[in-house]
Amino acid sequence: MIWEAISLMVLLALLAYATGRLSRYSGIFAVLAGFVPLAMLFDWAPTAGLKHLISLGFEKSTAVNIKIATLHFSITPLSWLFLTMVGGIFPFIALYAISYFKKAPGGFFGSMTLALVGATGVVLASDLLTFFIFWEVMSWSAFLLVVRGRDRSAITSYFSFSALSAYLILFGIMVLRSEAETLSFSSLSSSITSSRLTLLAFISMAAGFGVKGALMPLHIWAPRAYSRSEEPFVAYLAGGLSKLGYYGIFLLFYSFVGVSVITRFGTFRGVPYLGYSLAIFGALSAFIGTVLAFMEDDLRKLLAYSSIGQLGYIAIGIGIGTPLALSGALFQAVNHTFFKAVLFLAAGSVYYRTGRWKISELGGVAYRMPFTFLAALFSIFALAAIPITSGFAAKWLLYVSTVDKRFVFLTPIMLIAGVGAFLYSFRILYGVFLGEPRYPDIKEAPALQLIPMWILVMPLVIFLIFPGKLMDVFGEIFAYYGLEGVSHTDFAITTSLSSYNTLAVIFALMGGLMVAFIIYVSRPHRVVSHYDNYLSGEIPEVHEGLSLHAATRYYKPVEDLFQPYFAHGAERFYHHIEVGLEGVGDGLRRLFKTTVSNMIYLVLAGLLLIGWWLTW
Amino acid sequence: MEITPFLILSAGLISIGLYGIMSKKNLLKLLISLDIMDVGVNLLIVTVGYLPGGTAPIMDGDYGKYVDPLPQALVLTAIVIGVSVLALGMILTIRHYRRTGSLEMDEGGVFGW
Amino acid sequence: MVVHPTLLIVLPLVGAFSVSLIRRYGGGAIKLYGSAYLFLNLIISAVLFMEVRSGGEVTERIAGYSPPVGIFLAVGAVNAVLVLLINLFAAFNYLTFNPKDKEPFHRFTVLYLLGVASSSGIVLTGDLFNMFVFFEIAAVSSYALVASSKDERSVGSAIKYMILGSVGSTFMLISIALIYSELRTLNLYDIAHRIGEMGGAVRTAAFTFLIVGIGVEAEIFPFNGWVPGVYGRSDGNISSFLVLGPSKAAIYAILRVLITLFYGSSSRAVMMDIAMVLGLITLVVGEVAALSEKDPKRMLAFSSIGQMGLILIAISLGSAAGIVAAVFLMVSHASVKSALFLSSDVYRQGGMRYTLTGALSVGAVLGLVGMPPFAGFWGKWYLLSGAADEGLWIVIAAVIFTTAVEAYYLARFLSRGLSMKKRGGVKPTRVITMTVMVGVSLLVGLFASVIYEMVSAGVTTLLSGGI
Repeated sequence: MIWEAISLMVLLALLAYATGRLSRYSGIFAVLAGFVPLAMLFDWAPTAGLKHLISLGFEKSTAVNIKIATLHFSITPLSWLFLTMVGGIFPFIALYAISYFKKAPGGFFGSMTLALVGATGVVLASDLLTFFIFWEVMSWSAFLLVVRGRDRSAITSYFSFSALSAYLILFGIMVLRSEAETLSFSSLSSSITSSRLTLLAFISMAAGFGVKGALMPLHIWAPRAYSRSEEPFVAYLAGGLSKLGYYGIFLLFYSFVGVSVITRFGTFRGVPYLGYSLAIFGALSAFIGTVLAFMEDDLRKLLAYSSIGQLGYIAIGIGIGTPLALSGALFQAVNHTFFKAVLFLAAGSVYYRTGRWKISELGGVAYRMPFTFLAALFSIFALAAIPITSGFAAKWLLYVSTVDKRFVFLTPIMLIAGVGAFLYSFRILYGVFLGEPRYPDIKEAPALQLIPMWILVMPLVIFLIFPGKLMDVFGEIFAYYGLEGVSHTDFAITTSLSSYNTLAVIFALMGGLMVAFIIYVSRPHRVVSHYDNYLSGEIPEVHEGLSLHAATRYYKPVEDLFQPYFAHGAERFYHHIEVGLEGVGDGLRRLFKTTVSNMIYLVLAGLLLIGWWLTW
Repeated sequence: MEITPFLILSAGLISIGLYGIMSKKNLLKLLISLDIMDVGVNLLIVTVGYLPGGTAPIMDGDYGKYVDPLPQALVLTAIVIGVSVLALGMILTIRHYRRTGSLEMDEGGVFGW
Repeated sequence: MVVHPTLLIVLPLVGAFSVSLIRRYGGGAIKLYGSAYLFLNLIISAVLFMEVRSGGEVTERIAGYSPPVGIFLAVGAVNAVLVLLINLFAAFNYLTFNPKDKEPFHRFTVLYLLGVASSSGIVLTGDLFNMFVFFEIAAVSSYALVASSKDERSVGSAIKYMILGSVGSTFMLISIALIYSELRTLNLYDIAHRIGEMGGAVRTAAFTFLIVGIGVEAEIFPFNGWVPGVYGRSDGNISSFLVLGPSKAAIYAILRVLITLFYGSSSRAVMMDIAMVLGLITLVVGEVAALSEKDPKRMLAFSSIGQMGLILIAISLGSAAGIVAAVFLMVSHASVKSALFLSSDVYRQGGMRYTLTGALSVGAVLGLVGMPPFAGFWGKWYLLSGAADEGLWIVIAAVIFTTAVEAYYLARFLSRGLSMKKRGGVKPTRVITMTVMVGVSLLVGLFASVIYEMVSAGVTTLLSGGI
């Protein structure tokens, strides 16, 4: 029935393609397709509450013989969790998209549905061939959507990086296949040896997955693709599809190669070197992504860099690999899925009404679009890991796990990146939503955009109050892979260092807010003009080009601090590679742009070499 | 008759042809060189089928020892092919000459790629 | 035997020599006449394909002499696929020619039909000299087709092509003479089993000259100097014909030489190594050169070289997986690269924004890079798994590296075409042909088992010196 469900989604994708030019309501097919993974989610829910709500009777595993190969699908607790991320948000994003497009969007919904098919297949796959096929389907259908953005650098970088990633993964698959002589996930890790080839395969696959997860320094496609494509797709790409990279990395550690083999390559305070280096790359992503984000004026690019930073935390958690860190990583993954989707959708709605992406050109949108603002506000709280949101739980788990291992490099970097997240979140809040109202005539976003946004905010609220529910699912995952769990109740998580009780935190925060509110009400207050607010009463020498908007070059000192280092960024690195290869290619081209006699010389040289080799 | 001299001769012809192709820039000379190569190979094929003291493979009653007929058939085909390639080469040369008024294979321009 | 494979060669020849009879009825009638033959050929090759699929190999003696004395056509699993492929795409590709551009159109049709007949001939024949003859016919018609392009400078490229091609065919002929002098036979399978009787030096020379001779046509580096010029200056639909017809036939001829002809040779392992190194060099040179090439058509030409290298690598694995990979790669390359060449003219006219051509080009690029479910994916999968089975990690690394390079320049090609402001004028026939090509690549990938089962059933006999 899994296969039938996937076929049904493909059919719906084709229908969406066929009707794409007629009307934007062709998105209905995408929404319908989105209900298929939702139904699976209910069917397979590890917690009993959801399971009996709806049941269509999906089998837990299945094998489909397509004659040239057999495709295996099965559901594990881990794939269930990731299915919530890639499948759970899809119908709402599709619903949003129907309202987002003002006219028929052509192939948009078809490609979106195909991306969903690919993503669903990836998480359900239980052998490497199936995994790879669906991985590629997901990759190229997302490419079709990037193409719609018609930005040359986005198209080029997305496609070359995803092809690179695909073939790095394929290399790893080939190594594993020849070592284990099987493609099935369940029997792979038992027969993998710790040879140098395995190490190479591991690194290559981790890099391949890292591309999709926008891990530094493989991230450069992400800001381009995120900032030049249509918003609903970007929400899905950042919220859903980017998680698949970390799904792959997780599987790489616990299913493909296996921890026992990985630890044989050496450990550092009980953490395998391979995991630790992944964590370092994650920390770099978290730090650099954050720094780049708070310097960015384009709202979409800001969110893109923020995604890179936030996804870096997941890499840190998976890299460290203790149950605590893994819980943090998975928690972060779930959170990021929802809050980043909502943020991109909210940004889309702002654009939908104002037609502006630049933070310096926006401002005061919240007064006209309060519901959009509130959804975004809640997501920003989660993003910045403010203690009243589920975002805090994720970051807290990660901090505790690094402190627990006494990683003096990772912990401070994460903390700095965490503060950085505050800084750029503040810019979104103040620059876009609050501040001087620049668009007094706009209306609130359409209901069809608000409803999906608010539905997607709900999980953040639920996990805020009941982090334990999510921890239950993690517990099942850990049990599946033979790891020990983290002790928790519905409201509290306990670790060796400290414990975190959401109820206590919420009550404390409520109390604090109450006090603040009382002070606010009891003291006289007056409305200050934004101009005064920004200048704090000083009168600067106003010269040409100085914008007094709070969002313009707000962190100029920090920018000046980091600017010199960005000259040596990843973009430059890839540019050097490109230039170098083009130089080589130019030399090779010259072999062809030549006279016939030179060509004959080449032929004769080849002839003599072959003859020499054969007689030698 | 020994066949070795013919083998040497055909090798020589092929080498002359190759030398011509590699050193000449004039299109007509190039085509002539190609033809010389062709002749060399044709000679090689006939030589390969030659049997010392054999006669032409014609069934006319008093044949005894005759040479292998197949290479001769092959050579006929090869000659025809050679001629047709040469003819086509000539046509292309004429077209080139009409357009540019030159028979030289210059570097760059038309022959740049 | 329902159909005679000979018909595949004879029918286009009949068409070619009779087409001038109807030349006074004008271009349209000629085109109809030519396509009638081509589509008839397509039907025959499809029937032949089905026959081979159900009943294994098909052979046909010519003129009543039985092999090894007489010439015979040997159709196994691999060439049944290939001949169907060539005839299918050649028939649809013919539709894209506008009689007004190719005056006098009947002469053009003669050349085209000769090209199709000879390409099928190279693929079908079981006789070495016969193969040479078809090679020459294919070459002559290719030279003339290239010279008939709109770009005036194509004459220069055609002359270069002709000179290199003639040297190559001379080498091929030398090799045939050497083989005949020792073995007194020209039948491929007869040679295959008796090649051990040959003297070592003569065999070495024969192999070297043959591989170089065919290598010129099969775009193997360093024998392929003509490729960028010819593809870069020919019309898109002529380039696409060269890609799907003669060059596929030539790379198949290399398969015959490596797998069949030198089957019994004691130094076969070294020959395979040589072929693999040639393939690797061709792959890397082609793809890296394409990266720095700015002209779209020449870029596709370099990319073609790279793909031919990839196919050669697959062949030189010499295993079942390698042959399967080679077949899928041939299908993929013939279909999507031809489609890209067809789109390249539109590209030059000013972009393919919001057009079906644009969408098809995206599909073709996906197919070329080897994304599932296109045919190229199975090609690369079996190529890599075949290489992994033999521990050839260098090959795998090279394929991965070149694929990334390929993806980069193809994406650049696409993004430039898609972001242009103007809309190119697309002729409906081209769109239909491109749809067929991309569609075939997609369908072969989706229903890969059809070809996979057929080829893997036939591959055992192929690898043991049979058909």
